[in-house]
Amino acid sequence: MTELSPDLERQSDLLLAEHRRVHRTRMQLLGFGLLLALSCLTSVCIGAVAISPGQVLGILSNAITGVDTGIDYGRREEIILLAVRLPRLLLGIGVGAALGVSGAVLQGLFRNPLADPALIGVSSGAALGAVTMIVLGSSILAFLPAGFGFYLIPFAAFLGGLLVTAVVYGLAQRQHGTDISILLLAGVAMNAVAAAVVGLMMFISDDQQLRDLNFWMLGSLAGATWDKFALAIPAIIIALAALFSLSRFLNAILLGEEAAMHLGLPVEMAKRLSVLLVALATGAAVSMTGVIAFVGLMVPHMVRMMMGSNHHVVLPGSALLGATVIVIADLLARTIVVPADLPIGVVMSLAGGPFFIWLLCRRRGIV
Amino acid sequence: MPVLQVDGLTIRRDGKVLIDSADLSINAGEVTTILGPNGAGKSTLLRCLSGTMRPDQGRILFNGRDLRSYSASELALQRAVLGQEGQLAFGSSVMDVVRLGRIPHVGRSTRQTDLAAVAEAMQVASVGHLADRNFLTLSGGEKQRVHLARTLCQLLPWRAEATASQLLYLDEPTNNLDLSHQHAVLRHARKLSKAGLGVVIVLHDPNLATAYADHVVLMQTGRIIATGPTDYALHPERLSKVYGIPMRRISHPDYVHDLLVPAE
Amino acid sequence: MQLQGRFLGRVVIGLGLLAWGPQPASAENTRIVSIGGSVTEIVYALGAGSRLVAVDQTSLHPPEAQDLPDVGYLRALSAEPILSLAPDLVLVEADAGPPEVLTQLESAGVTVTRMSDEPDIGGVQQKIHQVAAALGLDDLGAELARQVGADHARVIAQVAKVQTQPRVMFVLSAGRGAPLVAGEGTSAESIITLAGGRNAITGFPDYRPLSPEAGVAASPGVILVTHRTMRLLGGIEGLVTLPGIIGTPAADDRRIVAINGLLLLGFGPRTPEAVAELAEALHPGLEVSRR
Repeated sequence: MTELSPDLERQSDLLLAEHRRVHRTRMQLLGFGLLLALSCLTSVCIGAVAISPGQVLGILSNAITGVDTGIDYGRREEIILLAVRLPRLLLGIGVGAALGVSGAVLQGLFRNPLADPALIGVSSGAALGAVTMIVLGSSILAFLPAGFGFYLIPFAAFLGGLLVTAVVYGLAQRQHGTDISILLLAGVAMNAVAAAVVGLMMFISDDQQLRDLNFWMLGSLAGATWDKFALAIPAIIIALAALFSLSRFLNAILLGEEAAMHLGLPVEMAKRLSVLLVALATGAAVSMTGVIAFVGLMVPHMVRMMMGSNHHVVLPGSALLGATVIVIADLLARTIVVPADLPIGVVMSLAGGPFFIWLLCRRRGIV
Repeated sequence: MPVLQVDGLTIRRDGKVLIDSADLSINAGEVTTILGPNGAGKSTLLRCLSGTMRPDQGRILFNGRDLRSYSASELALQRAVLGQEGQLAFGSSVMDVVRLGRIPHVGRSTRQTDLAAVAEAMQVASVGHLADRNFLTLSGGEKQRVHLARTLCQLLPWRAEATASQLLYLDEPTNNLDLSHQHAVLRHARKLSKAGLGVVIVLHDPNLATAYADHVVLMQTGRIIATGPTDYALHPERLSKVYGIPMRRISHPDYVHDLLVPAE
Repeated sequence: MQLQGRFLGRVVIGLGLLAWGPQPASAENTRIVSIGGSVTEIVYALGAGSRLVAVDQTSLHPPEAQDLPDVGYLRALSAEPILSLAPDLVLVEADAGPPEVLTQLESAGVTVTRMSDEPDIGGVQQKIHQVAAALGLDDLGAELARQVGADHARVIAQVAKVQTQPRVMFVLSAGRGAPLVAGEGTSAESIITLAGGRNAITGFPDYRPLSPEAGVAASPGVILVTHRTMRLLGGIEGLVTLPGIIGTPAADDRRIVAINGLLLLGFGPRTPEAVAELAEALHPGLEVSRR
């Protein structure tokens, strides 16, 4: 057995390299965290009414601990920060993390960098579920206790997202990986159906709900309230925590399903669980903010470029960067046309469309 | 006692018999190759032996225990499989790819042991110098050796009594490799068998089998035609029948092994 | 060839229709379709309600208008349902469309009369004149216009006495995103100004989604909505918790005014009434006599 004895020098090299890598990964995640904190701070201070960091501190300390810091601020600032800006910011963080991680998981699961909750129709499916519930809701709600409708819509969004993810996954799965054309065609079909149903709703109603089309198709965080935050965030946290625990499986599936099975992993169960959790995270996000495209595409891609393919770091990285991207995009959405409010999807698509084209070119070796 | 004992193994799919009551055994410390023309059922047989596919009839004993009684995680510590699918969806460092082989050991081994296993496997497969390279930028031969290292480190560390009960399955590892890389991969496999491991390789080329195998399982349309020592199983007459062209064996003064060539 | 043939066919049909010719507008028009709430109101006010064969979805006043067949929403008209009623005259509000449908109606030989739409009392009077002319009732129209003008002047004179000018935000709808509010140059702004208020929202024209923060920053003293919006948003309590409304002085003081949408924004013969009703709501204590 002497010929197979380990080369100790090489081994200590690897150990050193491993330590360096772990350290670098930690620093990168820390960097992402700082970036998110910085964008949150900026976002909290800027808006239709500027609030200084000191005032933010004063308002928060007063609201949370009841301690009066003596910092001077008006009631208007307090209302804007506590009732409008803060729930919007926090909901944005949750939604961004959910979309970023969902994208990373779908890409890993489909073994394809073009999988994105919005692009392959998962978000549309969720929107469809929510819209259907809103249209048919009044008749269903008649039999339910008041206030229940609030919970019914996210649930319907989850079901819609789940259905589409399951169908797309089933259709696109081939013996050796995923059929990308079916994946994208399913997305096109799903987005068309969703647009049609939302259009139908618009047709049934009138002018007054016309803009809801904008909401579902282009997304907006403008409707954020603490109630919505409290409803969406637990679902998102549960889904993300569970998805994080699937990192090892996602790493193994990089090699293909059979190879993952050879490594002793319960591949079928993990696949189903991933699909379910992605639908939960995406459904919770979409039912609160409508479809926000490209986050799930761009964010994991950037994270992979910087951090490699290890999902133990790709998923937290995608969560942090996804949150950052949404916070910044929403900051733009609510400030560039003040006092009006742009749909956040407009901002995202303006950035994401060109990015997607660049990605396609790169795959074809043009860039 | 053989590591793996197979009796009356039969597989049917969609009304077709893919494997017809196969009997064979695989020993520790030997290279066993499964050989035969296209569609003979070589990869299907390998899938059954490695526990990926359930047989319809017959019995497989792995270290004296029914293969079906092994849990997936238990099996992952006892056998490793290098499949035919070798492409990666996303860029990843060679080190990270090889480390995936340690997944079955999570919770059973320390980081120190894991790294030692990775280092050893990379050394055996001669990919130690590639550790920090992006897998996607490697040549075909390098990729295959990285996968070999990844598969191998699943079975490490070497312990005489444990290694003798483990099996390494390689499904057509020489596919798409040029000549020198084909030989390099098989040389590594042979080295592993000398360390006590049982190695099972699906191959196309009888001459690679004569050079590296101790034992050959010759298949044709789902049936085992012969199983035994390489020279016995690869008798030119048998080969002529199986491959449908006349074959003969010639010796060459410079080679240890005889060459099997078409007679015409 | 086939294309050419089809084209020729169209030309022939077109010429045929031309020869048949649109009917001149006159008192003989007995099959009228009225598109637009204020237009329908004027038709009834002129006593010509019995000549209507159909109206659109926005024609909700007077109540008997709702008993007539409905040809759909005024911005999303379709030619066939209207033609199937064999009208000889279609009266349309300025917003009606799509324009292609109106062209189709005309090319089918129906007289289509478009009304101008200025959100002030002059605009209302002009609209009355136009409708009356189309119906061949010019004298009745002049009388109605004079009466509406006099009512308006009386109401405005009373409103002019108020000292305060409350900041009013008109919320058209609020679904799941930002609330849609009236900006500059909207009919909502006009009626608010007439009733002695001031539009709290400046900075954009038309109806736009308002950044909720900007809503709070605008600090409106009164939120103005239609009855329908109020109902959809779950009443006053539902309204005051919406982002953009919550925290405003209006929400704190529960100063939410709901008025019938057609009355408020229709700019028809009932506009003096709308001004009076809104003025009373905006200025507590003010009583406006209508006659």
